Amino acid sequence: MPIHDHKSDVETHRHLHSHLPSDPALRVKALESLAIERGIVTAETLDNWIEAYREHIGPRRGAEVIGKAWADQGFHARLLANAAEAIKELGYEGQATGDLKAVENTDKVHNLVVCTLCSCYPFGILGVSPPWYRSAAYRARAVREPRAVLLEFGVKVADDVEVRVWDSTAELRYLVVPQRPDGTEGFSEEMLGKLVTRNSMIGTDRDLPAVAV
Amino acid sequence: MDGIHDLGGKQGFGPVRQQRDFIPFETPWEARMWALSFYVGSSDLTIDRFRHLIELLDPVDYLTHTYFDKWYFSVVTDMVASGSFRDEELKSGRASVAAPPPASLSLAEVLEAVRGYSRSFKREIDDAPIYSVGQIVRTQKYGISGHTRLPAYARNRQGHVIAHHGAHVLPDTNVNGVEAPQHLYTVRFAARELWGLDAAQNDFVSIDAWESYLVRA
Repeated sequence: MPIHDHKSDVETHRHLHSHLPSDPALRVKALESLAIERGIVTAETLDNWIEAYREHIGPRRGAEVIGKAWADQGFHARLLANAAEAIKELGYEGQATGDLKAVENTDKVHNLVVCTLCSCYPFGILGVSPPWYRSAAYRARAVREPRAVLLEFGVKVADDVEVRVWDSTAELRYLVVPQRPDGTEGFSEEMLGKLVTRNSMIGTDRDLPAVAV
Repeated sequence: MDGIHDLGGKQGFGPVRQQRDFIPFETPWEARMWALSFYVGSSDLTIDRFRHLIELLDPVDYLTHTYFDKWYFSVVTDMVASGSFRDEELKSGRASVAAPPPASLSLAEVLEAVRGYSRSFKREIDDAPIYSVGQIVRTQKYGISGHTRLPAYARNRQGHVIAHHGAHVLPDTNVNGVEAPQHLYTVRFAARELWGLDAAQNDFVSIDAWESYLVRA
């Protein structure tokens, strides 16, 4: 493996920017056609990857995991001890879940996840990240003024509640375990899972209602 | 590197523009790019080289290109740099040398392939960890010019180790395909250590830091 000279990588970026169309839709179309002609992949395979992430892999998986953790104390303990292993019980291991960690909210603790250096996200369990998560504004501000960012999401964290921001700088990926809503005694795992929102597993949602919205 | 990508704590950005009920993808080409990213890339393209190529975008392009467009430039720059693609091919979409198509993956096969992507970056090493949970540590004072994962806002700051994760592949070397694993720790900082008295007294920020990112406090 060569040691890459980043001056030459910067040069390649510049060269490509000046030689290729500015419209990304055109460039990606050409890239796909080139990859197909080169025998790297087929259009049908690409279609199936897209369908997998549109229809099958998404925040419903994470929500089911949380529902199960609320209903099943043993699973709850396993999830907090080793989330990467625990989600395999549901067959939900996937991209960027190999070093998954679960962090739990309590009455006195609120967790918020960000990746300031890029946009690391546990794709396999939460699907493709929402655009706000990858935005410069979120990446810049979540570590510096988490309470202000949370307010924009409609989450008022009381002064006596500790805010813990997790900046995903390694391959570890964080999954927030929100608090189980009051008034859900006797709910099944499935009913509980339906109450869990994508944002509550990132930390930009906190008090979940007992009725699915 | 002290690049534009190192956004933590930068000021001047407006409110976070939220999307309600986001369903991937925003545009068809972004969906295609997502899927292509699983296939287009030379053997040099580790996760860290993929990230570093994005960091090396012109700073203006970095801030104005969308997420998946940055992915595009990362993978094509890798392919051109490794001699796998020529710029003319990227422009025309026509291969200079065609090859027969591989077998297609069905949806079920893709879902199975996704499970195979659950790979840990943890490695076994002989060296014992230098730091232990509960210990006060300080982060390195200076940045380095290449790829690294210590954010600028967390340099030369004192925090305490709240977890040790064993040894993990080091991004600083994995960018060139060398895993050189080191012990990895989660280090928690009081927000006031990072931002001063503007920050709430009970806010904390943690990063995951490799051993060489830390010094004794």
